[in-house]
Amino acid sequence: MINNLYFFLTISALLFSLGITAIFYRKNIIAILIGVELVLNAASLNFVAFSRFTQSHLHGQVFALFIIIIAAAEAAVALAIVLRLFQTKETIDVEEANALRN
Amino acid sequence: MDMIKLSLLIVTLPLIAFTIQILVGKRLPRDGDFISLASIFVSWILSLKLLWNAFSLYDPQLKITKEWLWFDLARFSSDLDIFALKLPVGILLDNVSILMLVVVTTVSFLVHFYSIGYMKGDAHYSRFFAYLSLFSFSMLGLVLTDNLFVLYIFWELVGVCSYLLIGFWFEKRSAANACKKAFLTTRVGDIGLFIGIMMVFTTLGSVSYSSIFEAKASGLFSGVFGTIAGLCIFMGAVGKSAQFPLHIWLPDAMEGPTPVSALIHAATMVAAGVYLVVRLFVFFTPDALLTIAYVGGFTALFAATMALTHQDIKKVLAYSTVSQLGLMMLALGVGAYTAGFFHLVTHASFKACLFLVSGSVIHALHGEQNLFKMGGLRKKMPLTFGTCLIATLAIAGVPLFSGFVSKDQILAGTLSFAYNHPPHSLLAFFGFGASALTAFYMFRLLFLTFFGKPRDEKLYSHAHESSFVITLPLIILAILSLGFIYEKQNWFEHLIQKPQLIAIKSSVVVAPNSETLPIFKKIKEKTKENVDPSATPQDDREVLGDDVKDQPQVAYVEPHKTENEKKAHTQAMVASVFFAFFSIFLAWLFYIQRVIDPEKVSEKYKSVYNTLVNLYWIDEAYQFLFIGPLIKINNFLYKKIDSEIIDQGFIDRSALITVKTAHAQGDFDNTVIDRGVDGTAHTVFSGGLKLVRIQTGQVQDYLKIGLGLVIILLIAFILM
Repeated sequence: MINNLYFFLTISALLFSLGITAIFYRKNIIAILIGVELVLNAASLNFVAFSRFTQSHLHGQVFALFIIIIAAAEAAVALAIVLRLFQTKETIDVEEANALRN
Repeated sequence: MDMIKLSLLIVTLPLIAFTIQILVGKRLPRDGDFISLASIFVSWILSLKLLWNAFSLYDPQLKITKEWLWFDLARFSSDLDIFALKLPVGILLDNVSILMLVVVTTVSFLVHFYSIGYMKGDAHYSRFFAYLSLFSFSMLGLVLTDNLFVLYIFWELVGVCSYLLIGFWFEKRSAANACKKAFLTTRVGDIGLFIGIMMVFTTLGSVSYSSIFEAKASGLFSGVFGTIAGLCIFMGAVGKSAQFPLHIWLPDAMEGPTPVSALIHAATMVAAGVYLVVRLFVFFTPDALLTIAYVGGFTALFAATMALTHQDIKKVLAYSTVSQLGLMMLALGVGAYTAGFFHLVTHASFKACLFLVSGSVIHALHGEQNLFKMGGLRKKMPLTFGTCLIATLAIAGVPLFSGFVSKDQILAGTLSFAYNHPPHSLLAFFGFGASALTAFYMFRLLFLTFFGKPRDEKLYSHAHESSFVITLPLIILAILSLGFIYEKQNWFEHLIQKPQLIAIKSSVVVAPNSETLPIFKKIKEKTKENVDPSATPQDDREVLGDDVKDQPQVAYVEPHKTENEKKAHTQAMVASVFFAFFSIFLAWLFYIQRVIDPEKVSEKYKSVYNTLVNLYWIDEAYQFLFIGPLIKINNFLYKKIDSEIIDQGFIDRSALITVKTAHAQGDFDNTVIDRGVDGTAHTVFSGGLKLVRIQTGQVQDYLKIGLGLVIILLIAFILM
């Protein structure tokens, strides 16, 4: 069972769905960030799984490393945005950040 | 400077003056009259210089020509060589044109000078001089040209100048009508001239005099075709020289200022027709010449009778001009070539003088032109009277005056023609009748104006002698009317000799001799060098040569004359002198002694008198025959064709259709197109309003849309 590609893909799909659901429906901006991390991890799990189960070099695994690094950078930038949002609006509810409406 | 350049300068100077006058004349001091005067004065001096050259050469065959190519359209007609259109402009200087130049510039200069006094204070003073200059230019060009095409251009130009100057006081309705009449009547003749020129052109492909004469000498233009071509060209002369039946414009032309009448309608422009016949003399066939003689002779007598009863001083002179021009035509027609041209020259001076005299009288009487309101002016205007007397004696043909010399030759010519051709004796009658009547009506004019008691005291008391500016031209012209100028050594008959066809054919261009030799000397060498053996008939030449050897001072030798000619000459002289004196005596009886009362005579022959006073009803006849029907036709065309068919039928209807289609188009615009446009706008607007709802400002919504689109794209990608 652990040697099966579909097992990993199923896990990855579950992770992605959970992440997307968190992004779409949580109002707390921190929770949304966590959702984003889930989506990224689902993607890197996919890369690693395909790399492992297909006749290829280590490109997929290198990509997973890149994604981890980019996720770190993204978390830093996103948290900075969260801080700025909180400083201006004194809330971390995304529905309050609607200055672009209409 | 050679003679060609001189003549070019003579022509151009008045044109320059015209250009300056018409452009800036009004801004110059004295309205710029000095410019016109100076230009014509220089032209006059230069043409006298030309005359001097001609005298020093003293060669009857003198002929200097120069041609420049004006335009060449040969490549348009390569298949028809004869129609290769090459039009040169050229100058022809011979004794005829040089003499004519002198006549034109002399009269023109004197008239310019006279106008300074006569037109003083006129509102359009500067324009008057501009027109005079333009006229001088055109007339000189007409005289100097060497082909018919350029002649036609100048011919029309003088016509235009005549039109402008007759209608100079266009505020007067009569003047405005007169200038129209003059222009249109001469046009009738000009069309004939144009057809004639075209006949020549289509036959020869050239219109220069020399090529015409060459063709004539080689036998072309003989027979009916030549006669018709000649008569067509003569028609132009009939219009311009106011011959019957186109004479009606000249008396009306007297509406123009008097200097204009003297210059254009007495001395120069009306003589252009005679000049044309002189130029193309050898071109005319015997039949054409006979027609010319009859037209001229009839006009001479006919116009003279009309001059008998007129009360307007200028109109009497106008009819007299018509009559004298008729005499010239008569002379040319019967072959008295020299006499015809001679009379043109002498007539120019005395008739110009008479017109200027009438101007002086009219000026003194504040515009009164009626002879029966004048009288007794002899004492008040002695200079005017004296010059008038000389000119009247000249025109009447009294010995010692210029008119006698030339008219005598004309009458001799007609009489000898009548002897040679007895069926045409009528021509001699025309000539003698006209000259007898001339003496009568001219002395009537003189007696009524200057003798007797003043008929209008008020006018008389204001009359005064005119100023120096007006009298000086009179005096000069009166001197030119004296006979001895023309009689001395018969220079005129020597210089102007009847052209022979052969002579023209073999004539060589004589190199101009710029060194002026003393007049009347060195004739011997000249005649020997320049006279071509075939130029003059053999016997004449023998006589000429011998005589010259013996007496070099005598320039002219009587040409060989037949018995008839000699007889005719003496008879004509006796008869013309007798008629002249008899008529003068008759006029004296009528208007001075009152032995015969003119009133009673006119009562007695009332029908004749009425016919004369009404000028034979010719104007009325034209009105009835041509003008009335024309106006009727025009009215018909205007009412029926123009206003009904074209205006109402086509134009109005098409306008209606246009309006209707325009309305339909408007409706189409409003309903279909506008609604379409509005609908589009409305749809876009409402669609936009609907789409606005997407933009919630919620990041999560945007993400949802993005995801949805990605899914759609993925599905599409997979399906494809």
